[in-house]
Amino acid sequence: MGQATPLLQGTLDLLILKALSLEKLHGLGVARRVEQITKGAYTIGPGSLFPALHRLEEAGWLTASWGESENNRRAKFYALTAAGRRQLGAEAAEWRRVAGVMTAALEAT
Amino acid sequence: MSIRSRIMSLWRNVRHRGGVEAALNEELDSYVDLAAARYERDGLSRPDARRRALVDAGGIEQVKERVRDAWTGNLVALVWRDIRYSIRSLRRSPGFSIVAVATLALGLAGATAVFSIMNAVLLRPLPGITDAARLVTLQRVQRKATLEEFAYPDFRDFRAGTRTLAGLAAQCGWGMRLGDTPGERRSMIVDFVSGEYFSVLGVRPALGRLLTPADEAAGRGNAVLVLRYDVWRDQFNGDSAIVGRALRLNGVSFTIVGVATPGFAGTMTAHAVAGWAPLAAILAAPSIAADMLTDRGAGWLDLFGRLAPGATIADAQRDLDAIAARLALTYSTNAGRGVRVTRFAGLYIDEEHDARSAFQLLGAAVTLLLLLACANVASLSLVRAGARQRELASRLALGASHAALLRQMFIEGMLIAGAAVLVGTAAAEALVHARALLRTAMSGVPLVDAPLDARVLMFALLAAVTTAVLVSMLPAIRAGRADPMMLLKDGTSGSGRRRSAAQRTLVALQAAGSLTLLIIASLVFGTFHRLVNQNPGFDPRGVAVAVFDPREEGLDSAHSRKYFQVLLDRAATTPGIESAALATIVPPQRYADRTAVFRAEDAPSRDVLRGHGFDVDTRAFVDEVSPSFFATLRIPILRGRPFTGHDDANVPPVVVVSRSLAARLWPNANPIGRYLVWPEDDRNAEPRPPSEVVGIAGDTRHSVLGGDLPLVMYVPLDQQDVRYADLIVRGRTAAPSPATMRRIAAAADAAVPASGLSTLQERMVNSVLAQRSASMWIGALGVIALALASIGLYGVASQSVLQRRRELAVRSALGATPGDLAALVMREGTQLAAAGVVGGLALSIAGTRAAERFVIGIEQGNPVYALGCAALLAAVMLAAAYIPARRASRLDPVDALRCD
Repeated sequence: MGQATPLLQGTLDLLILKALSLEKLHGLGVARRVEQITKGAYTIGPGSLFPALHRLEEAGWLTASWGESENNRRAKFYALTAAGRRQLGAEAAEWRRVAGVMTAALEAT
Repeated sequence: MSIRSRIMSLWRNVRHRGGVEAALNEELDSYVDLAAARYERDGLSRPDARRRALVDAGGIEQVKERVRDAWTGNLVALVWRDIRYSIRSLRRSPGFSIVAVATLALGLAGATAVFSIMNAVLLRPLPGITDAARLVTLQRVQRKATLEEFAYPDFRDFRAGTRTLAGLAAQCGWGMRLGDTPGERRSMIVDFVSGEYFSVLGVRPALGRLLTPADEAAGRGNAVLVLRYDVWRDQFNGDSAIVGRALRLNGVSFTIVGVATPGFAGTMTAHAVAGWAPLAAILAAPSIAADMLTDRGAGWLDLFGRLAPGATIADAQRDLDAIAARLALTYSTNAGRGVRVTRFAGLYIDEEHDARSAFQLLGAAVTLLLLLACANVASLSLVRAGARQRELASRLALGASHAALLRQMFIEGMLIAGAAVLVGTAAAEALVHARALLRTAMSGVPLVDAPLDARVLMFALLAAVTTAVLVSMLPAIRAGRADPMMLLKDGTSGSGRRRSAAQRTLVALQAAGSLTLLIIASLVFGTFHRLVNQNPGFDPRGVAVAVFDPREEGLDSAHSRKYFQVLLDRAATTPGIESAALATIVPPQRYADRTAVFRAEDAPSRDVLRGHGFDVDTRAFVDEVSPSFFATLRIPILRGRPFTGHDDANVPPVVVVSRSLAARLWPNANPIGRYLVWPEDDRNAEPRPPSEVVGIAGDTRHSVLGGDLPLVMYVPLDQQDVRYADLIVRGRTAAPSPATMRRIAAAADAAVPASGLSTLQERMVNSVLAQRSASMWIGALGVIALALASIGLYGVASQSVLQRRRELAVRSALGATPGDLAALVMREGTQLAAAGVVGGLALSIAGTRAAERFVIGIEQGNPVYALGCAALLAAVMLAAAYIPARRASRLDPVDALRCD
């Protein structure tokens, strides 16, 4: 949805898990954090963000709770579960492996 | 990912949908609020900030839709929503819903009823038997004809020689007289079985023990008996001390050794057996020859076995073929005699054949009816889809996908089929449980208990799903193609022509199918009617019959003879009686034994004939009759003379032959004064001298329904050793009442009871009861099919008038008369009816072949039925088209042009 670089399949989940690895965040917070950690390369619109959050929650990797936002608006906060943290580790490792292989392949002469 | 978490999500999403939706709304609201707050911080006014945030989000409804798609079980929730939507929609058009459900229920009820009876007769394993799939039935094959029964020595050789069967068992059912009280007739059917019977079947005892190989030879003196569970429970009050008690059967004491497992009722679906006794004990029955167990020429045992582990039916066939070939070389009785191994069926061959052909015909008929019902509902749905175009168009325009419309259409079909299957299964259950109907519904199908088991319910479910697919396919495909712009613009879709083409094809197919059913129904019906009304060769009116069996009451041969004389005298002198006679076979009698008959000069020696009676072409009923027989039944004597009182044991034997038998034995000569012979039942009896033919009697029909006329040989009762006979009494005005018959019996000897009291006309009716109702059923199916076809055509014609309203109005405005308009609509109906008639005539040719197997002598070549049905169908269909045509002719052009 309108991001500068189209997201690779599967990267959205990884980015969301990563964004939540430090603290629990509400939807907009997750989008902002992803934007921040990708240095503005990815902006995630709600049409991609919320389906992904709900999917990850139903998979048991995120847990949701209602809380107060910074300006006292009630908001739904997401946090990583233990399973989510393991999933982040696994997906990050897989990503590095693929990226390494691809980089090596492209640099080969 | 965690399964538990998934399941919990599914539960929440489906069960607490409202809460989940509310949470999603709040989450997205809060998202927009937070995003707006950010813009506000950047300096925008509050309304501007909010607008910006909403634009960024790109349509909240779309976001929600995408989130819903991500939810587990979203499809379930959608389906649930569609179901509720469909129910509302079906409730809005109750006329359509009721007609559709009723039509399909009709089709499903027929199909389910036929299937459940078929399941009970042919498919369901018999209760109490372990692993029935590994059981095989052996049939004796002789000169290409298949006979079921084997001789005991042959059975022993097969049992000892087989390597492919883990066990081989033999049985013979026989009615045994219970108790010793004279004049009281209580009997029970006992299966006399070989020692392995229970172990081959894998039956367990409920009480005591079952029979073992050690019991096989136990006869008079040490006979034992195993009771069926329900017999023990109902007739012996479930007495657990029954083991060890004795029961007298035909005057022989049987010691009860056990009770079989509940449910087990023998190996024959249709024959309720009360107990089991060792093979040798059958000698207790009065009419069993003393050398039954050693005679290779006798045929009386039904054989079945259990395949050895790893062996197939083909292996067993090869194995037993080899043994049969060896026996054929060794014993003259066994020459040309083979064996056939088939899957264990639980039915006798002729029963199985009758059942299969009945199911083929009725099964095909109900399947066709179900398809017709589907076609009908499909074309009704198309008509309805026409009326719903605006609704569909609006839904498409509001963002529903084609897939969603398709799904909803299918769900609607499923709902209709589901309601129909509920109604239909209940109706089928009622049909099946109306036992009289069941008995009569299937010609030749034995009466069995037909429970609605899992298999039947699976069938009903499968039929319903298929029905739903068939019913919703066409409207769904059409909905899938719909273009909202076109639909909304003028209310008629661009594919209107295509729809009406589909509808017209459906109606033509329906007409063709209906005509096929009608033609077959009329053929079966007409043939049956003709056969029943043909002259049977005797006069059944005013005649009553009763069976007497004095030997069962302990009378010996000489006393029996005297008894019958007294009985006949008493009957003849009873007031109101015109004449009385005795006979061992009274027409119509389908199942009497036939005996090989020869011209005296051609007769083979008895040894040659032993075991080969079935190989002889000329086999006749041997009917032992009193002199008054021909006069009492009004069977004409065509040549020669009937019997007289002088034809007794003191003079040389004489016979009267039926015309067909005379023509068979002496095709070109006068049979009077010639001699014929037939072998004596008892091999050890003195050879009978040849009998002189003294008369030729008219042919009589023993089986009302077609087939060849039976060959009959009449012999004087007084020259035979007769065990039982039917008393035939003709009243002066009407058939004597049962009370009169009982009075006659009591006057002769109160100790010998009369059984099987009926009139000859009742016997005639009963002998064709099954076929009569089967033809009624098929007739009813034909009428229903006709009604369906006309409903279908009516729907299409009405729809066509509706669609062409504008065109018709324009034509009318331009000067077309009402008659012109009606003709325009009628033309379409006529074309469809014509197409249906042509297709139906072609289809019915194939269908009649199937019917022929069911009703022998069906009038296949008779075009009167086919053409009559075609005319009827055409007339009914044109009448159905006429109603909308008349509506078209009365159309007010101004009204028609103005609306829309």
